[in-house]
Amino acid sequence: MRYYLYLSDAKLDMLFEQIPQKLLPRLVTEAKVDLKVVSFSVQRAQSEMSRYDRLEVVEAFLEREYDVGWMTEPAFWFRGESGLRVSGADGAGGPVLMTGTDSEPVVVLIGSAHHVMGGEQPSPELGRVGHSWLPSLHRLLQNARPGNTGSLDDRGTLRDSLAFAQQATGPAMWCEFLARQLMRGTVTQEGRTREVVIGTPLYVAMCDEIRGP
Amino acid sequence: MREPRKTGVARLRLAGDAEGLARIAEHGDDLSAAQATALLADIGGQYARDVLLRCVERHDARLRVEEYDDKRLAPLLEAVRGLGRLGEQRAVPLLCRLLDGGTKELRYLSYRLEVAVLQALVDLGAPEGTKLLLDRLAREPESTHVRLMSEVKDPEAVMPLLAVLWNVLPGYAVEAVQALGSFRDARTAPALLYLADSTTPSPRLRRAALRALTELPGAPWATSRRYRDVSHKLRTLLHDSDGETALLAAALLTRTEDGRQTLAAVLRYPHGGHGRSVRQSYPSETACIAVCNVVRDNPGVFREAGLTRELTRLLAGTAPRTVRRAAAAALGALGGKAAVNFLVSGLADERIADAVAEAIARLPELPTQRLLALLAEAGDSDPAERRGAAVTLGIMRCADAAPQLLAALDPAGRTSLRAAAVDALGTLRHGPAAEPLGSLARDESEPRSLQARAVRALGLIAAPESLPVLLAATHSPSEAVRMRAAEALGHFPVGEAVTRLGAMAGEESTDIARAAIESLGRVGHPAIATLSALVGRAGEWPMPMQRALATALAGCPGSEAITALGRLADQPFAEDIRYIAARALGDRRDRECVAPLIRYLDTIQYYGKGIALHGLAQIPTEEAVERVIAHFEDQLPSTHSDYREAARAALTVIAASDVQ
Repeated sequence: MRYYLYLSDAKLDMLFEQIPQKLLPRLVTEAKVDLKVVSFSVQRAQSEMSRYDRLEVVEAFLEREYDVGWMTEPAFWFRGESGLRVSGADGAGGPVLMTGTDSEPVVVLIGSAHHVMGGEQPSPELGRVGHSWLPSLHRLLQNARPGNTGSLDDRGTLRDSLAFAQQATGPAMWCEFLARQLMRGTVTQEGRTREVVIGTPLYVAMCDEIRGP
Repeated sequence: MREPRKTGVARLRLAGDAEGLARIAEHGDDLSAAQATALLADIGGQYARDVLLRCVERHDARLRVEEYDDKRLAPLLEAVRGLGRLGEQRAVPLLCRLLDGGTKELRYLSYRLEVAVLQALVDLGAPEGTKLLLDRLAREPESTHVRLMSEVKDPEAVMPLLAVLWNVLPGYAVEAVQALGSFRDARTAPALLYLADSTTPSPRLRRAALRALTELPGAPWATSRRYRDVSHKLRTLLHDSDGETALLAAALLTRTEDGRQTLAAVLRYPHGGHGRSVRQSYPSETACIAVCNVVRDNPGVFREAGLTRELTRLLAGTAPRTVRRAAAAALGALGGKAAVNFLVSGLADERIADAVAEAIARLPELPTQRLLALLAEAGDSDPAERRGAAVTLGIMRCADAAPQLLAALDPAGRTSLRAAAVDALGTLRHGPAAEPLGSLARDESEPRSLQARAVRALGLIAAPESLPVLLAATHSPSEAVRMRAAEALGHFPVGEAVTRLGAMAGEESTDIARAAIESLGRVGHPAIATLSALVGRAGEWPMPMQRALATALAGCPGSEAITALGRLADQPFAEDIRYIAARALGDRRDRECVAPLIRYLDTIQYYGKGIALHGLAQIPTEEAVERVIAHFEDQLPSTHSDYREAARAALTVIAASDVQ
């Protein structure tokens, strides 16, 4: 069982709806989803399965179709585990940044605050705005920079992401995640080279090995 | 637009004409005199030292009666810097006099003079310089003073620096700690330990203090009674939520018996000394990782500490995967029969199997036969254990495992085991695997992830008969397969692969396009025409692709690559890309690079000029030398010192070679 802290319904729906019809039964079996229907359509499965069942299926699909890697290696989708600190989850319509600096590489995950579990939803008039892409990160970093001047190239984004992550405060939590890679590279800081990977998470969950007293 | 300045000094420098330079230094206009003085110092020798000393004396006398502006001050500054570089001890009293306050009002120039003098005195190792610096630090310290203090080598400065430390800390805390640490002196330990306290509000300061402590020889806090609470303090820091702080604290605790017992206790009681287990916390886990890492890095120190039981408990327990992985690495470093047994059994746990595999592969005595037995298909084999064995044997590059790895490709097997076997066969570069891996890569009923791994393995094996399979894989509807195909074709330096990679450089996915460009770079010579043709399209590309193209061309030989690099070194490419291209041109020391380097020098902003000058200085043509000379002489004294020094360094390179 996973204790989710963040689950992107937007990504989940988008990926689930793209799964080829013919693959669905096999994926449902692989994902060990308890569904009594053997033959069904994506639409029907969509309505009959819980979001967590659909996540299992989407994960099985990604594992099958993509070379899902560990966070240390370049891949379109990557899994990882790190002590994450959360910034910017307060505003319902804004971005949320989850950063882990103790791991190698440094992990920076950008998503939308309304996907944080139990988080506030934006008002219907404002509508939902997605933040799971680099332009949002870019804006966030520019706003966080002293003086807020100058432009950022991709290397600047990595450098500023690292600086942002290092300044993040609050308690860190051991989390595991599955994310789409947006950018990866190295930054040299005070003579030390650090690899930074930026991604947008499908989910972030507390490490399931942690148990209570 | 102003006319370029021609002072003639650079040519005198190249001719080694110290007297000619001295004449200009003493009688030329201010700008020429400044350049001549700097170049005279580069020539060196007793004559040059005498001239520079006379220059300082002359200006010192004038400064007391005449007004100076920045142009007038320039020759004096160069003479001061030159004397520092030359290590001329006779200059010390003269330099000190310049700061005695007896000069006419210099306004903003006084700081420039002060920095030049202090730098020269520090270069000379003069105690007078240290005294002046300490005096500045005791009054209104600037960042330059703190930086210069970190260059002082005199151990006599340690105690006075400690005395003025409190005046520096409010503005330059980290820099002050770095300056203190640069002495590597045990007397700094109390202050550093105090500043490293867990209650210090700045994590950066805490880390800087701990880093400085780790650079001290030995453990000066180990014996004295006044350090009796150090272990407690370091233990607290070991539980800091910042991983680097925890690691530095662990490294310091490793140095003493008492500290090593503290580290062992962390592994024994990861959640504290209380009797019942409590919920894990981030700092506790961080401390465990830090301890595991120092055990991994210093196994000899911990071998007798009996930590195997603690590490195995951690490895098997409920800690986060990161902690368990660190425990596996530490256990592997300690080695021993019990550790080996436990690690091999840990291969069954898929969450940590890869880390366990790496730990096993680093053991001094490899359990090869046990792993081969695990991999062998048997009725009671655990599929997860078989997968772990395949991963380990691959990392170990165990050729004996090839037949069993081939058998593990059986489509009836679990995908995770088959994937591990594919990876291992690729790592082994096992030629006979090319055929079954090719079949797997072609089979559209296989999971795409497995196809992608097979494609990667085929690239590593690089059997010529695999080329059609890889070319076909580049048309796969799967991004993952196309990406691995782009990488794999880099191992095939043939026309078909190059043509296809050139087309893939136009893929919509930046990652695939970049992989294709990097592969073209790996192919090298046969791909130069394709890479050169890509330059024309690269202007609109994202930066990672442009960078990949510049890096790929930098590794290619020949005229065509030079032409392409020359285009990348030009506008409108971004400065980063132009810099990579210009550096590659300079490194070639080829006459054909002169024209593009000159074009780059003329159009780039300051930060790239040094690389162009250095490149030109190494090319034996008249045009290159003339351009370096012209650039040096045309500089104004207001040019930033880094760029001035780059130009001077280029002249030094030419002077030291036969180019002139």
